[in-house]
Amino acid sequence: MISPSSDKTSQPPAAADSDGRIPALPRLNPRVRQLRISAIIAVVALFYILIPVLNSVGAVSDLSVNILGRYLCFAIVALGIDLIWGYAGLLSLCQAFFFCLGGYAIGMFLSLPEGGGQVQKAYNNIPQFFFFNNQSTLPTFWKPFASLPFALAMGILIPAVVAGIFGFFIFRSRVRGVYFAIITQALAWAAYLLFCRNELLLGGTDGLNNFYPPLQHDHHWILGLYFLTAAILGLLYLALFKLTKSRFGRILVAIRDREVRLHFAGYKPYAFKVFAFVIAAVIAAIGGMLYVPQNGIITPGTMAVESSILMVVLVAVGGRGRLWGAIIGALVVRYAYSILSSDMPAMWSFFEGGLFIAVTLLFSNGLVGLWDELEEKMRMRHGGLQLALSVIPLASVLGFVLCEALGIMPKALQQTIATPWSVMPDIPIKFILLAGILISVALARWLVRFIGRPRGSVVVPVSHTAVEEVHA
Amino acid sequence: MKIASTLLIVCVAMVIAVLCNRGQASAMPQVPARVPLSQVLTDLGSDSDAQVSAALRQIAASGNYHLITALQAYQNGLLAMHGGQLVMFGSPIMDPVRGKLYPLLNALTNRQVIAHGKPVLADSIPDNTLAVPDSDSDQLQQTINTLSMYIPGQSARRQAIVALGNAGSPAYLPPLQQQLTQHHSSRIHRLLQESIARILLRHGTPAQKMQAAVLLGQIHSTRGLELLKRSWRTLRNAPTSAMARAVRTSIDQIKGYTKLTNLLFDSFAGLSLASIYVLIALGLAIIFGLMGVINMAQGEFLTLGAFTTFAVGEIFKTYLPPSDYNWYFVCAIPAAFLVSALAGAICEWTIIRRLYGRPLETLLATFGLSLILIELIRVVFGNNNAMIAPSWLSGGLWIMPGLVFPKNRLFIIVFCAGCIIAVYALIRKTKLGLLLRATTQDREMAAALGVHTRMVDMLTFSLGTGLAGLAGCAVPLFSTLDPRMGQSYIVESFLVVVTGGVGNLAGVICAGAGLGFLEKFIEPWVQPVYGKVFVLIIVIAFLQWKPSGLFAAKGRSMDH
Amino acid sequence: MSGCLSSSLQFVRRCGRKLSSGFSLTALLLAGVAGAGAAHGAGTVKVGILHSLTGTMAISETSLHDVELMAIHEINAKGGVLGKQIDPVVVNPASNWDLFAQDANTLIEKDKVKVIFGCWTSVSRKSVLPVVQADHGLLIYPVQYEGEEYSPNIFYMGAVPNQQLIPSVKYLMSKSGGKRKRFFLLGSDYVFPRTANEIIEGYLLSHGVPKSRIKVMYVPLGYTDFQTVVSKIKAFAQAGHACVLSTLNGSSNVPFYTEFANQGLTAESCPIMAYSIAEDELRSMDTTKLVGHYACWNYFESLRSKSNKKFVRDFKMWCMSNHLPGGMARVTDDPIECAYTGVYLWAAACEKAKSFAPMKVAKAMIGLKMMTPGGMVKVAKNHNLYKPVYVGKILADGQFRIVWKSKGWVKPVAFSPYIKVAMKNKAN
Repeated sequence: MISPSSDKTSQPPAAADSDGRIPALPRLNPRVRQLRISAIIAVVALFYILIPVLNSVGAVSDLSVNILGRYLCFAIVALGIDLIWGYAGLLSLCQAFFFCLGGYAIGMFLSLPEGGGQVQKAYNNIPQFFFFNNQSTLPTFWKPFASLPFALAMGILIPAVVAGIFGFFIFRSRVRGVYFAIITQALAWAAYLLFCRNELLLGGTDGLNNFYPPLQHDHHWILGLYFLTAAILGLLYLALFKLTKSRFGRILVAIRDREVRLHFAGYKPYAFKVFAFVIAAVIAAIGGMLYVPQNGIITPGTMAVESSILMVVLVAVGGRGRLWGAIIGALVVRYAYSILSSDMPAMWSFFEGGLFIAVTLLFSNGLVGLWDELEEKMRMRHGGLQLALSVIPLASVLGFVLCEALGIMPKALQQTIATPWSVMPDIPIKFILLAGILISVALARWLVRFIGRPRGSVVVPVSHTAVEEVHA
Repeated sequence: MKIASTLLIVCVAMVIAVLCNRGQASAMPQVPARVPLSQVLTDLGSDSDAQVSAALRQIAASGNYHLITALQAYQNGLLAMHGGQLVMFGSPIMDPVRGKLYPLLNALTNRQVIAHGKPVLADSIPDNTLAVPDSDSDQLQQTINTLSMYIPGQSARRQAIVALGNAGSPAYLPPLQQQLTQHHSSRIHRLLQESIARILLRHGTPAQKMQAAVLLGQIHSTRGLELLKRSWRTLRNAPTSAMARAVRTSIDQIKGYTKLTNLLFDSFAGLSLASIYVLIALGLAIIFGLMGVINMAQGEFLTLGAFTTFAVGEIFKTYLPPSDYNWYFVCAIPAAFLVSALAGAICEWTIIRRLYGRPLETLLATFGLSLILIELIRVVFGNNNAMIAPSWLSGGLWIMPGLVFPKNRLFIIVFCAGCIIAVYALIRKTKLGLLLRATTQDREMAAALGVHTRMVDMLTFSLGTGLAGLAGCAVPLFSTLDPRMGQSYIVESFLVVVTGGVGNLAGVICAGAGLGFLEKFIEPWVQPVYGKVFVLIIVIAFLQWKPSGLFAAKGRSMDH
Repeated sequence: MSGCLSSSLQFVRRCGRKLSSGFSLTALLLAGVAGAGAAHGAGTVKVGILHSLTGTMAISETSLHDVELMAIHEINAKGGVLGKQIDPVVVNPASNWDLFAQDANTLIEKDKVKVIFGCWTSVSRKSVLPVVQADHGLLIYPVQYEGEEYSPNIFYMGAVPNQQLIPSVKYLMSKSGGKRKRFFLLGSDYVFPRTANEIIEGYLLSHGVPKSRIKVMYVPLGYTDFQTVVSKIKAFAQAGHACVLSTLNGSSNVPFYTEFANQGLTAESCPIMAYSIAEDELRSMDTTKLVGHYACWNYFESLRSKSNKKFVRDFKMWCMSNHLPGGMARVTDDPIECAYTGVYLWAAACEKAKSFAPMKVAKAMIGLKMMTPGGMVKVAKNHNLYKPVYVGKILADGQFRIVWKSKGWVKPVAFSPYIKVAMKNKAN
């Protein structure tokens, strides 16, 4: 995979030529190039060939594919968040709301008999919850949702319009930084409360369910939806990759780094911010539209304040400002969430909280940071030990997640060890193993650094150079 | 018009006087012959329903309110025959060996039954306690109500009088009217009038009904409103009759009065909600406003304060005599502040300090911190815990008929005012405040002048979390005590700080008050949720007008 | 674009050469497969426990998780089911409804559990329903619910409306209940209160209570500021003979009762009949303020039967010996008893069917009779239980005094006829 800003550290970017075109990236170091290409092939082969094949021969269960498909939806949302947070520096805490707007649109289609919804004749062939809200016929605003194209169009249009209007008012009054985060959080909260009301006729707290069951249980549907999600994720990745490389992308970075200067250069940053916000909202909605059929239920709980923050964490763990980081982060965090909540039910909140703190304090560049380090070491022709110190943590985390995802974790590692402290439940060996690897690598790295070897540099913000480029 | 109303009042006064006299007159002959009450009580255990009924009548007539305990025990199935005498089972005591034990009490004297020099204790309540015959359960309640009127305590007596009015049976007229001649407390007097009028409006002669209707209007009886409305419905065919006019006037009078009390109550509710908002936002205003740290775990410091209060209460319950229990809350206030402040200092030292200048990362880290704190509190204290408010903070303060201000809310208003004053004094008058302001306004210069800025940061942060702990003391008085309680306030308090203008306490106070009042004045008209949604829209509209809040910021800049 | 395209082209060209290295990286990640061991524990049967141990619902669901583990422990100590020890697989859906469906799926497909004991809220049950139906699993649901549902794969241990709502309203309208005439229906805004209130309203309307004397109100889940709501109730109760039928859930209850008492309302003037408050919830309340209010359930801790006394003692001991928060101070209540009963009923059905296959067990469940701490129960054809009904009055020590009990079993009617009455009335 290609990272948009990876090489700015080593060479200053050349000025744009007279057409305002962005110059091509400087030639990559051949080793780094080889590394990247292997990684790309590995990932493409894994997601688009290996998993479907393994699923078809029965080595990977439908359930695992279904779960992976759902997590790819979160990866889609994470792409959008990375665009506005990683590139434009806008921390939006309401992406789950847009996710749900898309989800609800498709959910309405799926609840109706036209979309395969499980309705009963005793309830006039409309979703059952209407009956508890004194509705014996389908409300007017529900009717058009019986058509899939309309539902799809609304799923994109409504979040776009909401984000547009909201963004316009917020950015116009120059609400920035933390204030923006807090206002979006309040929006998510108000929307959550609103969707919980039954008068809205969207199912209240229970949301929409009783969809066509084969969507989550039939092999063909599961694989089909998985392919669709993976394909859309790939397309969106390529599109956003292009976008961030474009002039627009540079302006976003400029907004992040020195908005005032951009303003003086004659730009209206707020128009760009609104546009980026709308794009992120639409991407979140697309994620939601793909998520709901695979998940089988959509409730307001999915748009609660906490879940928006969890979506941001996906990007924080993966690494900001790098699109593929968002995808990896999404998969790793979602799987961590799922593994810990089933393997260590009572303790997982501690891990989750610890993860947030550790990521912000220790790995502020996320998983992307580890990869950058690896590339840097390859470029510098570091020795095997140095490379191993970068590869092992990455590989062990990804391998762990992958084994869990495909349901192929060895049984021996599933065994638990009892802890002496009674409040603590038993800990599976696999966690101890993983923690052991990570801790020993961290110790080794500290030792190596202590001995005084030169360290790989970290990403430095491009800051004002981007403004100058745009202005030129 | 004036003459008419004066005449009416005079009429009513006369009628009341007459009624009272009659009441006395009719009550007199009912003074019972002295039958030994022990005999009467034993009759309750009789198999014959008629005998039970007669016994109840005699007890009611005796006016002996000491028997209420026994009657309630009878009602609750805690009355039993034990060795020839009537006993009741008292509230259980915990025995280290035998577990829960119920002391046996003499039904007549309410004293513990002693056998062989030791109080008699039962392991459990037996199945063969006396059961109230279905036909007598109404009469039993009436008897208790009637007797309750004689209790010297004001509130029990008030409740009894209202209950008699609710029951609306003419059988209650004599005792009520007899009481009317005796009591001079205006509240009780009014209630007696009201109950008598309510009974008369149902069962009296046409003239009595008329007078009762007028009286109910004059004393603004909200309890009588439903009855008046009902009689208005029967009179709708003759809307010009004197009775109809009287009823209509009374209804209008009562409705006007209700409007006034509603307005007063809504203002009070708004003020109390505003104080809660301000109290919770105060700490955040310091941490977020002055230091520029987004502390998502602020709610959990509040929870920490609340559980400290709970723990202090438990310590008092375990180690000190029950009479001192009421004082636990006073001790809990400084304890909650200190515990939260200490926890805040530790968090600042380990986490926040490393993240200054990176507000968005702080947001994520403190969110993680909040998850950990919630779980930690859950592991230590468990899920279900009750904080018992001290008795001086429960109940309500009677302001005027139909208007009661709950004491816990009054306390919160006062407490909030106290906290505001203390914070102001701290920031304006003390050396710490001076250092704090200096560091906030110009960190480098302050450092150059020898201020230990790191130390000041830590103290400021712990002051903010300590204030959250203080809020945590107050919140369980009106809300729940559970590990997630802090979460429900975090969004609102951030909104208050943003609206108020970051870095300014006055702004926070104004914004908190504004949001509280707004919500409480919208709420009577719409369902609760829409009040909150509406508030958000107003805040966004407001930020269009004043992007940096009510008062401009002078704090450390947050966006670079 | 051109840069991107050309680089993509270059990738494709190099693909052939690089494929091997790409796959080798994947293979490294998949290396764990090799170590996969054989299935273990031939003498055990797996069951799933699906309760939120964190998040908003943890406050209620943790106790069910505890008692289910206790029941399993008891059965195992007696030799297990069909000679096999029960092996509980505990997962934590963390009050997240999406996770409920996913975890149920994982339990059945990956862990191959024979039955799931779990859920509390209706939404969690509704999200698990399609999963157990598609995977032919079995869910034992332990809480009272709104009815209007039937699934061949779910057994409902809790009350249906006619085993809780209707008897309690009947009681309040009766002489011993104080002949209540005005009803304030207050609920949290979700499906159980909505349906419950429809049913109650239908019942009241068809029993001669005029519409003007019924008031319905909903507050959001987790709502805590009851000043305005209570002042409305106070105005409503002024005319006397009023009562509140409360379907408030979870954390709303404490602030509601506190405000209720502080604004001067009492259990005599306006009692509250609660459908979601049991002994476990009372632990988090100042019960001195609640004395005299009612609750209606199919079980109370204060039941005097021998089997109940044993159950209560065992549960307290279990909590203490396992160092669970609360220890001996823990209490039992209706959902806890239902969860306990659920495990035993399932074990009995397995013995009867001589199999663990979910569908065979489901067939064997029907008609099964059992003595439970709450009394004799029987599994009905509609997958609910015939059970006794009790109305209890709250005492100062957090227990209930039973003031009314049904004569024997009450037959479960899952689809209430009163919903139609309320609907018709609203249409007019």
